[in-house]
Amino acid sequence: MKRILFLLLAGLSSCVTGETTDDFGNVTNRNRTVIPITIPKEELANSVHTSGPQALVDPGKIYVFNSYLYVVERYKGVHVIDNSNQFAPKNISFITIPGCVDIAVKENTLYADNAIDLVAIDISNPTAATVSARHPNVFPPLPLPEDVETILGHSPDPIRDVIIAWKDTTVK
Amino acid sequence: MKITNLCSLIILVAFMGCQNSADSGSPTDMSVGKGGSMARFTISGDHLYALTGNNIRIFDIANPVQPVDVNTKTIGSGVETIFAYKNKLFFGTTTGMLIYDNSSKTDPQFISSVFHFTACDPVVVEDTIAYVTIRTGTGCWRGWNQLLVVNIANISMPQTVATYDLVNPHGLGIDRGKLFVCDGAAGLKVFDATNPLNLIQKASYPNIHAFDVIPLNNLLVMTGDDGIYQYNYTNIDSVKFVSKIAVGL
Repeated sequence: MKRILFLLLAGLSSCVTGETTDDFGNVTNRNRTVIPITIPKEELANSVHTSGPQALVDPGKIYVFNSYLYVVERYKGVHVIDNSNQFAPKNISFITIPGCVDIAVKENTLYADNAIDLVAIDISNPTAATVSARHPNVFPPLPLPEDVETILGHSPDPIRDVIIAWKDTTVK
Repeated sequence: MKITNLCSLIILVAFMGCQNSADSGSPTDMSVGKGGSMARFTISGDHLYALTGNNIRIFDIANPVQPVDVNTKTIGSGVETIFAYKNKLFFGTTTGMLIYDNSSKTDPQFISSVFHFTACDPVVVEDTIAYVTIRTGTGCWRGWNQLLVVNIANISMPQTVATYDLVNPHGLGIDRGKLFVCDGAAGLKVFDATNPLNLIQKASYPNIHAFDVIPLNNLLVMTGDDGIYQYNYTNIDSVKFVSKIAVGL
């Protein structure tokens, strides 16, 4: 496979080996390397939908609103947790939002970054949440994970494609 | 994440902040809820503020389901995170923080830039005090791990009035004088912050490893690497486990 370091990383990319440890001192990986996952830009407009609950895999940001918790599943979407019984919170639905890292809530509306688009999602019925408004091209390209050292792969065409995730890969 | 590699720090400085570790403290408006304070976008009252590179875009969300684009304003390069507190907007960069007056809601005005804290440093604000955790291993070249207590009564001249040594602090949260700090391997620390100049550590929970905390109405919601935890802190001498949503279930 042909691998091309991003031009935008020119001058920064020739990193030597190093160790990455987690916050509790354990060595997690060396030379964390990611590739961008992209989709054609026109697919963003139809990329948000609600389905049944899914297991947490890589939880990110949390937002607390009334008796609900909204938990970002990094780059993938938002878990809706019914927390009306704090002793037994219930995972009730999953809103797929490719490229999501950030959320906020006002009343019946969840705002999220759908990669570079800002979407407003009506969550009046959290098991049937739907996009009520979309503002395209609000945000810059998806930020990298915090501990990435190298980016591989072809540089995406910023006109045609949009980065929706950074996927870990290993150098061979 | 702790990184023992120089190049990675340079990449981090060049491309991102440390946006996953910040936390709460902002909204007193109960129609808005509570979440991270440093972000790609934030809500203050009837407006949503989105960072769009060098600019900020302001949306009117008086009708929440239909945001209306009302203004775009240039802030400057290198701005990575934003949070709102009362009539102020704080923009985090890798070298400092820009403070804007936001009384007008649609046309924020620059007040000052401060260098006590940066986009890498989680900040919470209560009244005239900002609590900031700084740690090593971020893209901001910090050589130490501390909790700073910063007086922002005079917003153009913030003053660090106390510092506390910590192990490897991440997210923090405050609710009515109760301060919670996620301190890496040292676990969760709970402080009585009734007098911000003299924080009293009430408890530490070495087994609670979390990255971020949101304290709201006596319920502490925490993100750890293996799930979401909830604790009751009605009595901060005895924080009680409530429930856990585990990863993978």
